[in-house]
Amino acid sequence: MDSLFAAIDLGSNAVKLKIIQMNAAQMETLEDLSVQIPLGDEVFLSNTIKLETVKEAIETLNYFKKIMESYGVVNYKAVATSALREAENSKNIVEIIRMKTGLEVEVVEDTIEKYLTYKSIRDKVPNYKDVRKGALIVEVNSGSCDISIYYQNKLIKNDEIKLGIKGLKYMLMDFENRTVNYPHVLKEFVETRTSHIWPNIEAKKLNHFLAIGGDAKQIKDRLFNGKDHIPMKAFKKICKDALNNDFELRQHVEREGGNWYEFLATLIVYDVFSDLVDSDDIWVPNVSLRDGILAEQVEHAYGLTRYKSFNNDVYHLAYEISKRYKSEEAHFKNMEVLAISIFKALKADYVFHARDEMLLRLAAILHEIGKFTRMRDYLITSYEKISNLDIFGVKREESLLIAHICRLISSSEQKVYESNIPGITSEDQLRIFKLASILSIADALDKSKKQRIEIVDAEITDSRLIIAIKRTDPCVLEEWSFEYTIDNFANTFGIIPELKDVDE
Amino acid sequence: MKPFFNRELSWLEFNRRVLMEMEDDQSPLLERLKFSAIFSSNLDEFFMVRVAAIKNQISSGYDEVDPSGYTAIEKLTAINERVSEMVDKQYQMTTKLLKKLEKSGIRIVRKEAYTPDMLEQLVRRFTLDIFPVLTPMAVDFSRRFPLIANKQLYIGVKMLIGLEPKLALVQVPSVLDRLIKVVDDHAVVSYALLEDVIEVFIDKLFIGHQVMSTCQFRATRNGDLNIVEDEAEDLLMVIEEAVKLRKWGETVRLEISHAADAWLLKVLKDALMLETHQVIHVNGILDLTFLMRIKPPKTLSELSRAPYKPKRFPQIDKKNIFKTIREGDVLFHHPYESFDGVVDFIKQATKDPHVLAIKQTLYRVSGDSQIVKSLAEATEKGKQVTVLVELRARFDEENNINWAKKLEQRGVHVIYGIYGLKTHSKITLVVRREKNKIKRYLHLSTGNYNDQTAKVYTDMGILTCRESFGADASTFFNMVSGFVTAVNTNVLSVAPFNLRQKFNDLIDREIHHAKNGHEARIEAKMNALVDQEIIEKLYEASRAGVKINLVVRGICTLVPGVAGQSENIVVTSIVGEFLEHSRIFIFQNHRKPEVFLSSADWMTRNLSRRVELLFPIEDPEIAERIQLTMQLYLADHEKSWQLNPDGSYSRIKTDEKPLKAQEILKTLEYTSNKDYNLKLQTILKNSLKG
Repeated sequence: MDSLFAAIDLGSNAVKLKIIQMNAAQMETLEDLSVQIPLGDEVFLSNTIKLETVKEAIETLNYFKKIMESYGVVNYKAVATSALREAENSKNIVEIIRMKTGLEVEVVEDTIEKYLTYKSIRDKVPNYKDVRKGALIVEVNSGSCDISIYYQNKLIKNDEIKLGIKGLKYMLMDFENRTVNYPHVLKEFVETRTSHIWPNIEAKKLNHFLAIGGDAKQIKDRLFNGKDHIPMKAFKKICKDALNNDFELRQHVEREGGNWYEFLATLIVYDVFSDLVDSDDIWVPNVSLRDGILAEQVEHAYGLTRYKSFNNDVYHLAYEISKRYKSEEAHFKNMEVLAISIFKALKADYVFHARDEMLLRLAAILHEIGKFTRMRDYLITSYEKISNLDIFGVKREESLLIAHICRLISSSEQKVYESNIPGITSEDQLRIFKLASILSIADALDKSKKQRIEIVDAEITDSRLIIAIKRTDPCVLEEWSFEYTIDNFANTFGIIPELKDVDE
Repeated sequence: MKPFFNRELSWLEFNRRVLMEMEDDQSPLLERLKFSAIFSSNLDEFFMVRVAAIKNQISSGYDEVDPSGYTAIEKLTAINERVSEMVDKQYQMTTKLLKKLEKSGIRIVRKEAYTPDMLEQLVRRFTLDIFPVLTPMAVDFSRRFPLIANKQLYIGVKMLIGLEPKLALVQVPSVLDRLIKVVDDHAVVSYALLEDVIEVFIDKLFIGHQVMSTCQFRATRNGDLNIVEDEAEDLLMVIEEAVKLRKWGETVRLEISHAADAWLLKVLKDALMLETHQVIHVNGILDLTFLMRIKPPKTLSELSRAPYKPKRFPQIDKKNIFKTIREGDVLFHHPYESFDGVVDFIKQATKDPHVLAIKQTLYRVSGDSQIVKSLAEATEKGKQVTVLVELRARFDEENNINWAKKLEQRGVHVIYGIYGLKTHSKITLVVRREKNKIKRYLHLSTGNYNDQTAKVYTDMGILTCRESFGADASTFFNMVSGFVTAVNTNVLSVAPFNLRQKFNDLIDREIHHAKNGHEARIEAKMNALVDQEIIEKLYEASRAGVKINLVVRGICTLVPGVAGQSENIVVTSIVGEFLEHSRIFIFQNHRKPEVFLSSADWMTRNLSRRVELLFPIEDPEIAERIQLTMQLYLADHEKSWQLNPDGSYSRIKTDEKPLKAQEILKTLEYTSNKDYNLKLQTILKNSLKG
């Protein structure tokens, strides 16, 4: 097996490459380099990236390619983040890059970017398990500010706030024209934008504060000799100096090649959030999207699953969303279990996509969130809500698949679509139909929401899916509902589902 | 007393030490004469670069005092006085040695001594071989004066046309050998000089005109390329252009035969826009660099030293050098150990199917470089080859441009370094895939990848496959490729990014040890010590009680032995058969010595304007070997000079047994580092017994 892996990250400020080799289950870094190319600046100002800047990126990517070739790297993943996500000409750029360098670049969604970056936290932060007990993680990047809370070993919050450095920078410049106290004005603005989430954070009494992202690293390198742990007192002293527009500090930042306004904006955001935790220091770990991509590649290549709790973060966040919409926890968790039992039985004979199990679980967890706003035809409302949800670790197109799966739990909706869902590829339509059929059965088996049926076993025998169940009470409603799902299931899988009591 | 010596005068003192090698009567005659040639060649470069720069300062009205207390005009005056005195000395000594050489059987016959028989031989040579190559130029003063090529010999001819004296010039062709053998009863071998022969038969070039007088002369021009990189899109083209322009550089010196006609002297001086102090009247042969090329016949072989045969490194696996390196670091001390080891490293990397990539810096390469050939071959074998060619290596620019173009044509990825910074570091990185794992092999050296100079320059280099070195080497090549600006290295220190700080930290640590009453010592060997910041740091260390022993071959502007400033600093200089070129830095660190090698001298240009490398020696036996070698250099009282507080150098008087470091290193057999170290320890112990 090839032991070399490379990750390329086309970020807002820099294009980066990391190459590692796996050596006795350890990742050994062969190359880690970053070339400053301000792709994000232009996007913020004009929504497009100029050809000149693209040329610069191509030159760098060609150099990266040479480096990869010098090690014989075959496994690589190149991703582009917010700059290309937001640029109107991003499709053209990806194509130009492909033509000029031969590199396939994937523009990743922010939910995936976050997921991969958090994977890097998992691998790079030494006391990761302790962090999961209670930590506020803030990432300030060019377009937004990402807030996460780890609490009692779960990722319970992941929100994006529109507080990007590029925007704040121009805001600061504008404020400066109006008052010499412009840093304070920006702080006020950040406080106003974020105050609605303060109580929730403060109540948790979190004792870790992690600042991640390129700008945090620059603060660490420029002002704190690259130390990962910055004492809170020292950090607050710098914040105070910065807010007072300290001339020497500004000179220092600019001498080191930094942009004063970007530096100030970053510092203010971290300053505001650092007040909400019970921590003696600010932790700026060496984590990166590149590390997350590499971790993903290695896990995939070696079939590894590390830190189950991390892998469950996606579901924990989905639970939190579902609870926020007042879904019945016992019901959706039971549905999740029932659906997975059926899915696993089918997996023995049917081909599923690698991420189908995750989509099915998320659909089970989220299927009722539409009820919060409308009881009637709530699955249609769920569909609408899920379509617009940013789910940590899930691509937007996958969110849409989940939304469709939820909608098709209803047999009436199945009739509307029959065999064609507009805007979805035929391959994905098949995935939706298969997963929706499974979820329909799971839904039927807990129709009363009283968790009266437990699947003991499920097995395919002679064109039939035998679902062995145990029941605690009479389950007329469930049996009646189940019968409604049989035709659809049979049409999709070509086998008939059958319930069988284990006592029989 | 000023805290710094003047760098130009210090350089002249170095050249004086070169000259004094002519007095070593234990050396064969031709070897002694070679030092006259080296003295001349050094002085040529000094005028082309340093004197030209001072002249530029004067003409631009710059009159600031330098750290040694000299203005540009004062410097030039002092240089002229000292050069004049030293050149007189050179000619006296050369004349004396040439007489000895004549007695030993080799004679240089000047034109005044040609016999009729010789004239007969020479006229034939002139007609057949020399005349067809000559191009006389008549000078029309109403037009631009013809180009006088840098460092080329010319014959100036005063002719009478009508009643007017006219000037004509004849360049002594450099394509012909300057030494023309003539049969002579007075010696085993006799040589006439090409310029003399042309002068004798000059009439044959100007038939129909009356030649009134002739003289031999030679001009030296400003040779420093003034490259403006600001608008340079293609550095290769810019440097090619600058090299072309060099021949038009301002003339800084005119050497002319002592007996030159007053009219010839005046027209040449005026035409070349020189002042009187820039004209040197030579009573003897112009341009003594030819002395380097006199080869004795077999019967007189005792007149020169047999060429030294460097030793092959016995431990190197001839088929798999990588295996040798995996077993442990390898140190080469050239020229005692053959440069073939380094060439083998590149050659094997070229042929080895497991090697994926080779990256190398090339600063000065020889005309027929095996390394360059191998690199080109490697690309043909599908390996990725990246070469950083430093085009701006002074006076080697044309050579470098040629190599760069050839390599590019063969498919090598050629890069030209970082904007505004010369890449002076010497490093090769070989990336090899072994059992599905990447392994990086490195060669790091104090000297260039030049198999010719490696025979006469002392340099040290290591082969290693330590992971931390490999990772740093990759970072280094990314940096010189211009793609990375942050240099976060593990073990290598890189100028101009973190090397100066590293030296400061290492000296500071010794100061700290001294202040705590611990043993504190710095031993360093380099080619030049000029950087003010480092010198001031060394003074601080000396004041704190750190013992500092420096072996500085060339310029040293540090003033040693001054109470309250540098009483703990001793500076010596070794000038011998081989050019001392290795840069060694040893910091005692309270009995936990750290040993480093570097491509950099302690010069501001090395630490601030060049890309240089400092690398630690982590193998304890190799580190010990380097420390013992350093002890040997410090114990050399035969070829060593000590710098005095007044800037002069004198031989060291000692009761210890005479010891020549270079001679010992020439004979010392290597079997293993351990064994070698034992031998060195014994030699040093015996020498101390006196």
